[in-house]
Amino acid sequence: MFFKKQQIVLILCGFLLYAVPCSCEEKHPKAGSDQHQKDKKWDRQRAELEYWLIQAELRLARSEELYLVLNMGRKEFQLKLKGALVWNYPINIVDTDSQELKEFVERFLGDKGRVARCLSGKHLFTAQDKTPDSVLAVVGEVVKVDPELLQRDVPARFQLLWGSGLTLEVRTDIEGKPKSPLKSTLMEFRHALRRPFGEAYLIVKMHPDDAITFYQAPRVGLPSILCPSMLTTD
Amino acid sequence: MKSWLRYITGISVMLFGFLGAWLLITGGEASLHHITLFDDSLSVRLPEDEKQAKRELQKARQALAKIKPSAPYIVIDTHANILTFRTENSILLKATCSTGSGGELTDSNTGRRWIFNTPRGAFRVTSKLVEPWWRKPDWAFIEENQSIPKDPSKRLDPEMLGEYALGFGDDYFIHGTLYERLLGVNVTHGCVRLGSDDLEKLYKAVKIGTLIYIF
Repeated sequence: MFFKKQQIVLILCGFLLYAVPCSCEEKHPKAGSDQHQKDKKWDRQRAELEYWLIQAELRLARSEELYLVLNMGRKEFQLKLKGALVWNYPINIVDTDSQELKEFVERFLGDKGRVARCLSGKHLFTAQDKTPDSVLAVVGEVVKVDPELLQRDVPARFQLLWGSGLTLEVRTDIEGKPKSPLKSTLMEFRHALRRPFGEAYLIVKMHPDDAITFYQAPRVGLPSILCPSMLTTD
Repeated sequence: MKSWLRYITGISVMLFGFLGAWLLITGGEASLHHITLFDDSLSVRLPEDEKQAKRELQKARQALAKIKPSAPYIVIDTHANILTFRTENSILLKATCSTGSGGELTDSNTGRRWIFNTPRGAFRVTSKLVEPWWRKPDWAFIEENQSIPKDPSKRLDPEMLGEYALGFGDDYFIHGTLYERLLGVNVTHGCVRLGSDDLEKLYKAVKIGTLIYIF
């Protein structure tokens, strides 16, 4: 043997003395930052905003209705029902270099940063049929339902509007057929007219499966709140 | 034309022009911008005293944490026909399902009317059944132009619901189906259909009392 028993014990003790504090640090990485948080000065403005957002969410969670949280801290869209997260999707901005996200957040929050909004409109520009009509004709016959009622659109491009020049455009990577072309032209014209007066126009990318939910679930009037990145209420 | 009439016509045209342009720009959305969540904005302000304010904020955080489900829960997305068993941060099971068609049925004899929607809102799993038998309701016979049987045993169907069923709400179930090819399409009478493999996994994972959110 190269080592005597005593030497092995000493090496093991040394290893333990080194390893135990290291593993503790890994298990409690927040301990230091918590202390730092405690030491941080009480930021009343931040606390007031967090308090307002919590109260707003508690109020919305009391109803039976779905509500939308634009969570900038987690960078995701969240649909919630009675306080439970039922759908979420990352905010993938198409043009990441632009100032549009900042403008969108500022405009959404309003002057005092405490504004809840409701969805004032949505418009589907292009979409694909989810199920082939031939299949639905057979299914409709079996289940005794009008096949048209069973059809669902897979949105290729749509917009959600909150008024005050707030527009969120969602694009998927599928090719879609135009839906109500006249209204679409009118919408494009309206945006062109609004732009000089100020408009926050955010374009995001989404997977088609999630776009179905994000287009269909929010009805006009959907309560929406924005949680700025400086706060994480979750 | 008299000059005063010309003025009035000119002003009216201008006013209508402005109104039209305004409606075109705003889309008539001007009155829908904000929601008033709080009647009294003072009620959502923290107390001036720092210690009290911190305590109040902590209380609010706890209240928010309390409304969130503490155990994994089921979410049924009736728009995409997707069922997930999840926590806030992770998806434990994701499956294609079928939900209510939204179709209507009226009994021409009695005038009774059914709308086949999956109910929306928050529910809990109220029962867990193995090898469930379907007790056909009246609409199942009316839909098939059959007479409603007087013998209750003639309403029973041992195969339609698959191997497992999870009860919720007012007599609704998450159950299996003989028509797995139709999963993903809104074809049901209000229940939620799942494929047999996913149904087995879900049945084993959930407990009575598990929360179900349907939207």
